[in-house]
Amino acid sequence: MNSRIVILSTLDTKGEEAGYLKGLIEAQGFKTILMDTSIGGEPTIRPDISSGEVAAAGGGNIRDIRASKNTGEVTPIMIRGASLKVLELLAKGELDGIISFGGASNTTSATTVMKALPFGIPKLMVSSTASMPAYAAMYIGTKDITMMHSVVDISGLNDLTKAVLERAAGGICGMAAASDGAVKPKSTSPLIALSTFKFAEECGQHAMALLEKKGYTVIPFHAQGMGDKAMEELIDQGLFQAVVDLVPAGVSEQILGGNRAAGPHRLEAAGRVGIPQVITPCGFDMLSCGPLGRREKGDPLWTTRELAKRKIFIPDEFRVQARTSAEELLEVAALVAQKLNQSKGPVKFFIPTKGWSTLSVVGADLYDPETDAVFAPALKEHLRPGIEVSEVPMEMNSPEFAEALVGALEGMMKESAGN
Amino acid sequence: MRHDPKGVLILATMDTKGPEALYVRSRIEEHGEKPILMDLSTRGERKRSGADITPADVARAGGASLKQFASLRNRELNMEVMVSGGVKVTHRLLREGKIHGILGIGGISASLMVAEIMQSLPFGFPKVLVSSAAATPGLSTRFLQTSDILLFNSVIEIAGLTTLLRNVLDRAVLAMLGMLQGQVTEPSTDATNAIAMTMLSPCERCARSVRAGLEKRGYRVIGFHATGMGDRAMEAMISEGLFQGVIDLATGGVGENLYGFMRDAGPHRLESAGRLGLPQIISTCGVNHITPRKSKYTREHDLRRKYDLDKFRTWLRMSPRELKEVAALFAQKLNQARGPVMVLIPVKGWSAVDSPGSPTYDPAEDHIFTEALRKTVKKDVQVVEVDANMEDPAFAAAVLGVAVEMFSEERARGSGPFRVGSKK
Repeated sequence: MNSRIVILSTLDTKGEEAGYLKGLIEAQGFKTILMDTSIGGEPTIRPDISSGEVAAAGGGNIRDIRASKNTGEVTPIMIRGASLKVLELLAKGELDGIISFGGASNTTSATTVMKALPFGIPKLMVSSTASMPAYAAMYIGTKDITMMHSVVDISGLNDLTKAVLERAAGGICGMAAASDGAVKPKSTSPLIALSTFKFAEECGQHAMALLEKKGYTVIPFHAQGMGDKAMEELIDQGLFQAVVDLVPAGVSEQILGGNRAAGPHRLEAAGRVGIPQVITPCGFDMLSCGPLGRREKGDPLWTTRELAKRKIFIPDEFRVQARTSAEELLEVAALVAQKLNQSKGPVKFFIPTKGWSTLSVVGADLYDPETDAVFAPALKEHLRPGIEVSEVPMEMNSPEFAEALVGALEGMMKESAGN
Repeated sequence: MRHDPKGVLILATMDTKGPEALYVRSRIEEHGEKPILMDLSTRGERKRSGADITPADVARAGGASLKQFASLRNRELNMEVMVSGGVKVTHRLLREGKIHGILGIGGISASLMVAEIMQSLPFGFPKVLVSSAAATPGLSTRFLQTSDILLFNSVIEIAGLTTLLRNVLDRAVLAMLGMLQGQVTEPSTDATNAIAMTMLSPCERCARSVRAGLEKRGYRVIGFHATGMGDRAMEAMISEGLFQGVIDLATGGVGENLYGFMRDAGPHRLESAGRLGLPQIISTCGVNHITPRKSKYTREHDLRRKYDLDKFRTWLRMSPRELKEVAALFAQKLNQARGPVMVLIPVKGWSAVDSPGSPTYDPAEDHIFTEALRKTVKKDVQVVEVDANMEDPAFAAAVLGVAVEMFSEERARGSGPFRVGSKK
């Protein structure tokens, strides 16, 4: 077997543990490449790529780095260097998987390095801080990182730490043995990205079925902030031919301060790449403001926006959705238009006037047609000519609405292909 | 060599993830292992989903008939029933020796249910959770908690067997199979000579040196990263009777719980060892700093002295009032201890962060804590000041010296963790 697994470790303090992991992986017939990312001192076992090489690749000097007291300043150099080194190995076909282990500092560094690698390359982080609030999600970000919670600290070799490293070695070897490497778009079946979430589920399913029947492959993304952010990144990588953006709520949540915020660049990649996109306002009708405890604690989001006075949907204590106001919808409309006006490809915006999600149809908790009604005129006012806004008297999740979206998208795709 | 098929329990909600769950099952079968598919659908589905264990089976185990279950409109309650049923069925399979690993797939709701079932399984049992919500702030933590789960971010939705999703599911299956193969060290449940130790990077040198010293004397030292979750896990494992003694170097989780900051280690931090009567040595790394979430800084937080640990972590200096409050809480907890307790405080700074030149270095203010603690602890809790910094070899030597004495004394008395309470 020629598969190679890169082990990232800080060998000044974790040499013994890294050596054990290396032995386990090699016993399964893999080659290992041991990379030392330590900034503290000399490694206790011999690396294949030294901390000096990593530092140099990152534009630094390991002696200066070791002498520095400012870890916040030197760590990024090591991260940059290690990222470049792994990309170099990948390009040479010498990387089939990557694994690392550690606590807070090393998890931050190693997962940052892993994020440089494309989707499909097995990435396993064994971390004693995996479940730390506030960081856990950041460690993973938009990448297909597998995070193994070690529970105990990987310091020293005892029965508990050995058990963790043995399972981790099994995991990465299992994944790397059959890995086809990075997933590349296939030209045979055009790929379409689709954003969706619970309150648009039926529309998403229906649209997917229709598109698949026509021979497209649809890749759905969970529009909870990270998922749609990942979609933007993969669109930028040129993986998709078109986008069905059912739930662009990452934009509204970003400016209103909700949990589904998808960063400042949501709704931009498709326009930049110039692929056709259909978009709906699903999710603009709500603001994700859970958990419920925030209301009691007088959380700033709740107090400044006076969410307690609004219509609220509470499926459980964590997922709490407040109705958005007319004022907020105007703000969202302006920003959406500003983003879409930059697009180089064709764009169509569809508004289902009988409810933008399961939460705002007649009888549902966030039903408020008067507020919904302010959105369309504002959007039209700000959009440049050439971007069509269609108001259709349907519910978001009606099959006819999905058909309308798919029909429009296919029209645009054919037109773009014809040009 | 005959291959004994290993049982892999697959957890999924088949009302929404039917084809994906069946795909996982077929992949496991193709590799010669034995999948068992449990359907956790919460909508009271009656139709056959192709699962080996149906929602009705799970609901029944959870104490509800399918009819009651189907009539329930409360989703949360349904989830509770399915989780408690799922836990029961899983543990039965485990006892019968039918499962050797557990693999779940899901979005938010299913991941929450699957994770809760996984969390009920022992450390060392292979657990893989493929989730499209793995990187959702707040949720990742709830999925993992203090359990050794391998959380696999699917990036894309688990809906539709596209090439991308197959790639993810294939890798998850292979990771599981990889974990099942080969020998894995059986975690020992023998507490003799096992010492739990908390640490953080700013007291790593001390921890390393103490560990080396104890290992040389035949102890096994299990480290826990005291970031709120690791130390919480330690408390849980102490309660399970896995340790003979505790060296609690990084106890900041107590104050963080009091104020609700990021290293919050729950309301029961610093209590388990005392309850069991284990000997414990306590120090103060990180206690004199607070870590509110940056997005929640108040104006007053902005004004405090700060130290950036790395790109995510910033420590703010604790105020004198807070130091007193936290000392009182320490005393309250330690006064309950039924075993020997010694608090060792390095007067020249409580961590690598507290060294001369650091913006938050303030031994005089640190002393407020020491004084307050001394005044409030019962008399058999000793508070000893050591004239060194946490990371100085002298401090590690002091900790080690006390540890060796305390632990060997306890051993000589034959008072293991299980016997302390019963001995009259």
